Amino acid sequence: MTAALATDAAAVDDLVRASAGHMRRRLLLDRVARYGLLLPFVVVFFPLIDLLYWISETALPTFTWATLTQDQIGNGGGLHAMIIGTAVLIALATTIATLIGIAAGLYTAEYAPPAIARLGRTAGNVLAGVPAIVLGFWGYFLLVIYTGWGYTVLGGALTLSILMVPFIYRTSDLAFSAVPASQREAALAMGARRYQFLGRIALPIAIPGILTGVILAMAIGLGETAPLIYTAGWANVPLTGLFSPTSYLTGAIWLFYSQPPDIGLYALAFQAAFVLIVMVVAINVTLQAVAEHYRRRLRGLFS
Amino acid sequence: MNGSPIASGAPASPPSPEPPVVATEHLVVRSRERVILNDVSLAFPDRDVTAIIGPSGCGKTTFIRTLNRMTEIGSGLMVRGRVLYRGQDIYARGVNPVIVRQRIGMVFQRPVVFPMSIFENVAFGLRINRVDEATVERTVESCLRRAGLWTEIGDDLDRSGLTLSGGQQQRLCIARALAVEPRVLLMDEPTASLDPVAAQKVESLLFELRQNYAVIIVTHNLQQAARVATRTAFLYEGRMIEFDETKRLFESPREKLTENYVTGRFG
Repeated sequence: MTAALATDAAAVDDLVRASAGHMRRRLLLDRVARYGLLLPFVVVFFPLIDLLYWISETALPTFTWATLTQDQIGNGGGLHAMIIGTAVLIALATTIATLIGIAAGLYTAEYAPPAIARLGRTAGNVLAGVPAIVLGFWGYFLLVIYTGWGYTVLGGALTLSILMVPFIYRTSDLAFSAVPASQREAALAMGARRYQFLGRIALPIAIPGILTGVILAMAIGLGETAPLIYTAGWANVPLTGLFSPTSYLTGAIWLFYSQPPDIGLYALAFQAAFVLIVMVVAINVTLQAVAEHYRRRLRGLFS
Repeated sequence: MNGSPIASGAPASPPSPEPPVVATEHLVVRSRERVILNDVSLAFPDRDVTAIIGPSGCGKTTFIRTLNRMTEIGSGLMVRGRVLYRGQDIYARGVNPVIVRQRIGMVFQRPVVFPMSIFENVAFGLRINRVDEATVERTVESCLRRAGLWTEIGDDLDRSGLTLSGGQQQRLCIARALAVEPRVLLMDEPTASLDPVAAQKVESLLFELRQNYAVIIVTHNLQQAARVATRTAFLYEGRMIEFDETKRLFESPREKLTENYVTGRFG
């Protein structure tokens, strides 16, 4: 018995040596991975940091309260009308796109026959890929010329919402499709009708996913210029109604960047960019918090 | 229907003082590929617990799902024969499956808690029927009491139902099923996903429930059937082999197949 338990020196030597070699190789690989991957990681964030620095450098020295509260006039003034324009455009477009996107996503996930659902998903992806400027061009003919509205806030918001809708539609479809089948079964076993299950159970479960799409769509919508150039027109004073033309922050960047650097308009382009980024961040943070609130209520559901 | 012969020649139901609350007559359920249930005739007494046993794949889950038309939800199964609730065929024209499921409730193998508070979980069946708030509050409390949960979580009703333990979740599901005042409760292996202590609580709950409801429980735990059920039916390969008082079925089965199964020779 004891013989079997005696240590075989050769075997120990073999194991330890092999392990050591193996270990060295692994440590080396680990180090390569650790520092090799650091570079791409930095590359991802470098442009963001540089961009923020570069914009702030020109935007902030002349940034005053008046930048936010004054309308643009002559070679100077502020972003007042453009901030209002952008806020109204994005609010309208988000409302329209969210209502349509959720409804269409619900139909696709819940009611559509498989062939129609596939078609809808493909169409959504195609629409998401249509270049913004083509969409704007089309919006011009449909909502400016054909309707006889001329350049309007409504025309701009509608065009923008068409750009945003596929993102909300696709995430809503996915979010509704991911609702556990057991939830449906249990609700129907209680004598719930399908719309009651959808409204009271599926929608709350899908909300975090839908919000992800809304956040993405809003970030994209806020940054768009091309669809608005063709449809919303331009006005130095704040909009007075849905059928008045309006200016907007992205337009300020596009219009003023080529002005001589020593006059106020040039700085206004940078200030518009700065305000735009602040708006994107604020919306993102707020909606993420809302999504997180809903997500917390679902903890334990998918386990 | 009590006299209708079945495959084995045994009576469809052992003598029972009351007329059955649920009964099947020559029930045949088939999918595209195969026959899942073949000519099953069974009668379930009111205010009692009846167990359905049988090896995996014998059709017992499909069977109880036909009893409140859950088979219609995305399964593509074809149902023939009759399922009677107090004499009325629930598959007849003009019978709404929504109403059927309110009279014949169901509890699943894994507890399915809705992502809402404990209170709203129990209130769900009342809310969808627009019951007034005072009644909702009264019913939620009484159902949580009947499900043996009130003393454990009665002061914490705003908590998410998803935070409860597995056993509590299952009893919450039972409370929720009771809230719409069903006459019949179908239970598909209600303790299979629970630990022994939680399972025992659900089991002892069955003894309370039998005072007021017809409970039909599917189980592959033979000891559980022996403990909770007055009568037990044995299904095998889609056929009803034997239906008798539980004690008789376990101790002196008429059929060889039943004997083999209850003595653990297969399954």
